[in-house]
This record gives sequence, C-alpha cells and structure tokens, in this order.
Amino acid sequence: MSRFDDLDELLDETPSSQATSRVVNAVAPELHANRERFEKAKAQKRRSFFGVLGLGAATAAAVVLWSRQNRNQEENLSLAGFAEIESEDLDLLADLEDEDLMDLLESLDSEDKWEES
Amino acid sequence: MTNITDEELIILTARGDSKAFESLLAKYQSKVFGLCKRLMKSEMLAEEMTQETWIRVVRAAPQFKPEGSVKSWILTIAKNQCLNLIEKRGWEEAMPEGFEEQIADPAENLEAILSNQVQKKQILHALDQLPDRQRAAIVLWMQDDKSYEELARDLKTHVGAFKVLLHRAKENLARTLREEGI
Repeated sequence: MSRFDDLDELLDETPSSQATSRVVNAVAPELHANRERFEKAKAQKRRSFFGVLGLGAATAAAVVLWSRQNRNQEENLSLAGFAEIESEDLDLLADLEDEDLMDLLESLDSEDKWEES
Repeated sequence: MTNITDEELIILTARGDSKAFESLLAKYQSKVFGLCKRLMKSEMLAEEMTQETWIRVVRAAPQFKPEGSVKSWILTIAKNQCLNLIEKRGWEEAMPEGFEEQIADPAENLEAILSNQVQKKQILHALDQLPDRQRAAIVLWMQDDKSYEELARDLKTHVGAFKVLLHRAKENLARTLREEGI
C-alpha cells in the first residue's frame, strides 16, 4: 500500500531484459534447492504415514477417504483405535490435499507391489 | 498463472516451482528494481541488489508467514538489502553544490507534483540529486504507508531526526523540480 495512490508506481522502473535473465539464472539453483527440500519432506511424510499405518494400500485408502469425509472427533478417535494409529496422524491424513493423497496412495500401492514381488 | 494469489505463488515458489517464481518476478520486478535504483542511485548496484533480493525471496519463501502482503514482504527485503549496503559503504552526507543555501519555499504542492506520472522522468532525476539519507527517507516514505516511527527505525535514526530529514528532502526535491520548471 502506497502513501498516496500511484505514488509507489512513480518509483517503478523495469529492468533490462538481460538483468531479468540474470535474475532468473541466479535464482535457478535456489529454486532447485527448494524443490529438493520439498520433495524430501514429502517423501519423509509419506514414509512416516506408511510406517505408522502399516496397512495395505486399499485399507489405507479407505481409512484416509473415510476420515476426510467424517471429520467427527469421536469417530476419528474410534477409527484411530481400530487402525492402531495416533489420532494426530489420522488428522494429518485427513488434511492432505488431493494431490498429496494421490501421491501417498500411489506410493502405498507401489510398496504393496514391491512386497508382493 | 492466472487467478493465483500472491500467497499461493510464494507457496509454489517454496516448492521450487519456477513458473510461479516467474509470475512473481513479472509482477513485482519493476517495483523491486525501481526501489533499488532510487536507493542506490546506480543502475549497476540496483541490478545487483535486485538480484540479491530475488535470491532471498526464494530462499525465505518456505518460511513466509502471511501476516502482511507479499508485495510489502518482497519490498522490505529489497529495502533492507539496499540500506545494509549503503550503511556498509557509509552515507553520503554532502549536499550537491548549491543545495546548502537556506530554502525558503515550503514544499506545499510536492505531493500533487509527485502524483503526476507525466513528469516521472524529471521527478526521478530530481530524486537522484538528493544526498543518500534524504533520498532514502523520501523514497521509503513514498513507497509505503509505514509510520514515521517505523521509517525512522529503517534508517536507524530517531523519529525527530527522520522528520527533519524528510522535511529537508521534500524541500530540496521541490526546489529542484521548480528549477526544472515543474
């Protein structure tokens, strides 16, 4: 928010395209580092869920989908007890975004296939 | 990346999404570069500070907390980069020749003049004539709605000194603009 309308726009100045390219190049390794950190954290979360759940993909999918649709504390606690997992972990699972959920289920599925082989 | 909020762009940048970063860059690069250019008064240093700012934005993106606006967060990083460098280099205190005289006319219409984008080139040129501290004071004052106390803190001075600095900056700017026929 500027002190006056348009006053901060007075200061605006577009850098040269070469300067912009230099910024993009300079930032690329930082973006790569962010991507790696994010992927690592996601994989860690996945492993941790899988370890905690100790369930097959189909059961895990059922648990996750069920808990996402039933955000009832009492029922969640009961489900957590049934599945022998911590209720916080169940909450985490329920909070997963669709994309992350699909990733999780895919990874569980590949783990199952790996175990079968 | 249309219909994506700035906060979402930061989240995606924190995940390493280069398209999201480029959207942020396209949206705010002229603000960052403009602020750096006015504070540093040098194209080369402004480019350097701009680059450093964006690197820090990407590095800090995973820790971003949506307390204020993304724009304000990015510009604060830019401002801090510039002020730190100026601090290290030492503030240029001397007034350009002819500026030491007592200035009689108040800068009454300055805000109206500054709001006139048509005269942008002359205004920016006049800003560049100011000594470092005065230029920093008026540029930060123009750039956002912070209180005098906050602006004084940015320049590591007390509020009374900041007000004097800003007053002198406005007077000198108004005088230069008058001399240029604005």
